[in-house]
Amino acid sequence: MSLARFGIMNGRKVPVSEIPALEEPRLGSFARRALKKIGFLSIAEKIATSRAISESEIARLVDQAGIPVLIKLVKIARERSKPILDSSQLGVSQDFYKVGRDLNDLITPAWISEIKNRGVNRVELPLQPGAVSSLTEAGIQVDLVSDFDRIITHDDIVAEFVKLSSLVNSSGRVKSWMPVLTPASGQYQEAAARDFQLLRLVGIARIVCGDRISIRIARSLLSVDARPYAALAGSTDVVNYSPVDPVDGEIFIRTFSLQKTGENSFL
Amino acid sequence: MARKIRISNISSLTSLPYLYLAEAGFLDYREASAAENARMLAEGEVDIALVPVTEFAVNGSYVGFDFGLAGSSKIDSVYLLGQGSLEQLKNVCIDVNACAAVYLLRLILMERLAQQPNLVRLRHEGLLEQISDNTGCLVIGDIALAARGKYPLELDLAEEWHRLTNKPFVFCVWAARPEILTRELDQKLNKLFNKCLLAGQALLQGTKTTLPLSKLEAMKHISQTVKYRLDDECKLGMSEFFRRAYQLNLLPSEPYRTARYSLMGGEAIVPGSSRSVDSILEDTVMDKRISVAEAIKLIQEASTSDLALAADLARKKFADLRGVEFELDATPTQVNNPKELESRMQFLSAQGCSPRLIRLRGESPQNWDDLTAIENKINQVRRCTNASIEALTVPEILWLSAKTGRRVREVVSRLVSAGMNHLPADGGEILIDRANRAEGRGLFTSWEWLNVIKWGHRFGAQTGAGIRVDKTDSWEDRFIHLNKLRTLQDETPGFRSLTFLPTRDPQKMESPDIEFRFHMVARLFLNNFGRFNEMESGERAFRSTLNLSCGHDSVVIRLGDGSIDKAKDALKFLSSLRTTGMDIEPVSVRDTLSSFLN
Repeated sequence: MSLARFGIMNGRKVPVSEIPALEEPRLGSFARRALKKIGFLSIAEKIATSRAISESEIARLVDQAGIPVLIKLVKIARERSKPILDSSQLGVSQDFYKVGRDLNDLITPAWISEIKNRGVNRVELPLQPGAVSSLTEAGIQVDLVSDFDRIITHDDIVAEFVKLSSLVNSSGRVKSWMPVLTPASGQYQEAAARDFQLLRLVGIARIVCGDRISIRIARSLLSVDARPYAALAGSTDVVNYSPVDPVDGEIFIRTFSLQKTGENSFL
Repeated sequence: MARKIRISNISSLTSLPYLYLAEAGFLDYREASAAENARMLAEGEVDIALVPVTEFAVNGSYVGFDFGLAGSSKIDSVYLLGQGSLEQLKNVCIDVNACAAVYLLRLILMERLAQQPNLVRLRHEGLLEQISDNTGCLVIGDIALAARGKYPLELDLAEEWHRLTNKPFVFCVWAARPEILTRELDQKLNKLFNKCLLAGQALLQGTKTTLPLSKLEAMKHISQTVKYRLDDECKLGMSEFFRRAYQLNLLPSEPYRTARYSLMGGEAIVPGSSRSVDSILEDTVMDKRISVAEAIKLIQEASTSDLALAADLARKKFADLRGVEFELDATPTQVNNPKELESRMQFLSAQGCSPRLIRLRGESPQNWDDLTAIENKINQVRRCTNASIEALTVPEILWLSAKTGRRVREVVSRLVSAGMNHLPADGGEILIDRANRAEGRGLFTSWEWLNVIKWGHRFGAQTGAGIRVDKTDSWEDRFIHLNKLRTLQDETPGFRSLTFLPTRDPQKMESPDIEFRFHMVARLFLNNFGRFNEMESGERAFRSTLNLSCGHDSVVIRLGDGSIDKAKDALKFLSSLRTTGMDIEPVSVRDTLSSFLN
């Protein structure tokens, strides 16, 4: 995988070397007092000591945590500030393959063996524990995608994050996670609400996963105004593509056999 | 040739010894009230000034010379006067220029009385005439010196402080902006200040102005009653005052600082705030005041996540739920034909968009003949609505006052009596006289703007406050502006909300990140303002949402004179924020939304 040479700071592209990697103490006296006042101190303490948060705590985050709480917990979750990588501006192609959402049935030992033979060592797929496990056991790195256009109810969102937590904690080969939420068309206001939803989802994922994985966010999913806040919400990589369009297995195999995909292959 | 140091003394008998400073050739000497000195020092119009001691706590970046005006066990020039007992007081009229004395009075009243009287600022003229059984008067300077011995209730505030603490009280201190100081200059000034103490007697003999006391009494006052050199006892008195004022949430916790200099270069060390960001933020959660220097430190050093947490907590202190309200611009036709306005109001009400405020947009006052005509127009509208009415801006009121030859107080009183009960923030975008003059907008001073607002509050009107977000203003200017609003709100709590006014000039626009941080720190700084308005604007929807989640609590939707489609869009948007985990489901919003969405 290519190393990032540039990052985004205050909305501008700057060399990674110029981005400070400093972090204040994880849970200062003010934060402790403030979080206690709003009832999130126990979650914060768990995050600060790298303990996994429970399903009910995840539900509480989904249900009650506003942006201020989320960005504070995100800050605690990250050991030190890392630059947000803007892959879309690096000008290098991705070195992994994207797998559509309905490809899980295809992930059989034979299929895995075939893609390995073809040199694939990294795939992107939904949060399917079985598929993730098969791929990681075969030594293939996994990038996860959650489609929040389909995961709508509160309980389903909580369940998705519980699954994410479990997958990330159980497999060292999950490299990243990416939320999908189709941007609203038309009104600025609708876009703003979507942006907020997306940033909250990123924040919750960061809190759930800690610093163990990269959280990617598709540039196209966020409005220009919201992009600078992706890092604050916990994203570590802004990418130029979005797996919004699922592809079926046939198309995947056909495309796959034709070329080693770069970015935008299935879009 | 080096620029002269601009120095400002207080014009009163008590500070007469410092008149000697006028003799020094390297100083550009002037005199003003303590309050004006404070303003000039804060806004960079003078380099050194004799300012109220409270300015140290409010500003947080001044250094002192250990000279000033203090009273060991009394001062004789700061009195609370009255006809009855302290306990009988329901109102206290205070001299328009009183600063430190007001804080001391509030502190003493809080220590001694369960029920606090109202404080009303008035000009010197006619101040003493207000005194009655239940109305007292806080007088300072020469008026106080002349008034003593004439009233049954005469509370020398320094004496009262001494009784409480057994310490002297320091009213004013010679303070400087440290950037202009060097060790050499400090030594030179200290020599001069010491000479001032010796020159008092001679200056008094030579004075040709009318004195409030006989020369003998005046001599006793400056040679025995007032302390000019601030010794260790005085400094202990200051520390005790700052400590108590901080505990009572009257002042930030900044201490008095004597000027210090670097060993090598001899330049003054700029103190800034010595407290940690965490400690300052903790204060905001505890509802304590922060100084200008502390606010600037937060802007520069606090993490965004901590600011967001603190700002959100500050918002929740006033109301757990965010609100949405409508404002209607009434057309000249509607103003002239209230029936039409009434029917428009009924329509809006039926649509779930009842305006809280109606803005009368008629002809400009230049075209109005007299105050009576304006009163009649307002009254006509008042008869057909219970909504707040906004008719004239502060600059328009000042213009009317000048044109009709009536005092601001009278003009405001008549407008409020006619039914105008809201004043907009127009004209008060940045209450820094230097900045306004530089931009050719110095038609009125910040004091005049605040004076109109004060009378509006006094007569029961609510007012808006604003601050422009414009790169040309320094952080210090911005927080000095906010401090002026905060101080007035303490005395006449009639500001309803603060609105940020972003510039439209792309060259002067702040980055979104800076703007966001400013909104949050302003929320922490203005701890006596309930509402922080977010003006509904489609293009800024994301930023508005961010602000609403981090400290702002009110969305204002301007209905204009057209359709309500825009309002419907805005309400749908607010409704959709429910799904983002924000507690933006206030009753007022939900109720309004119900007719559209449920």
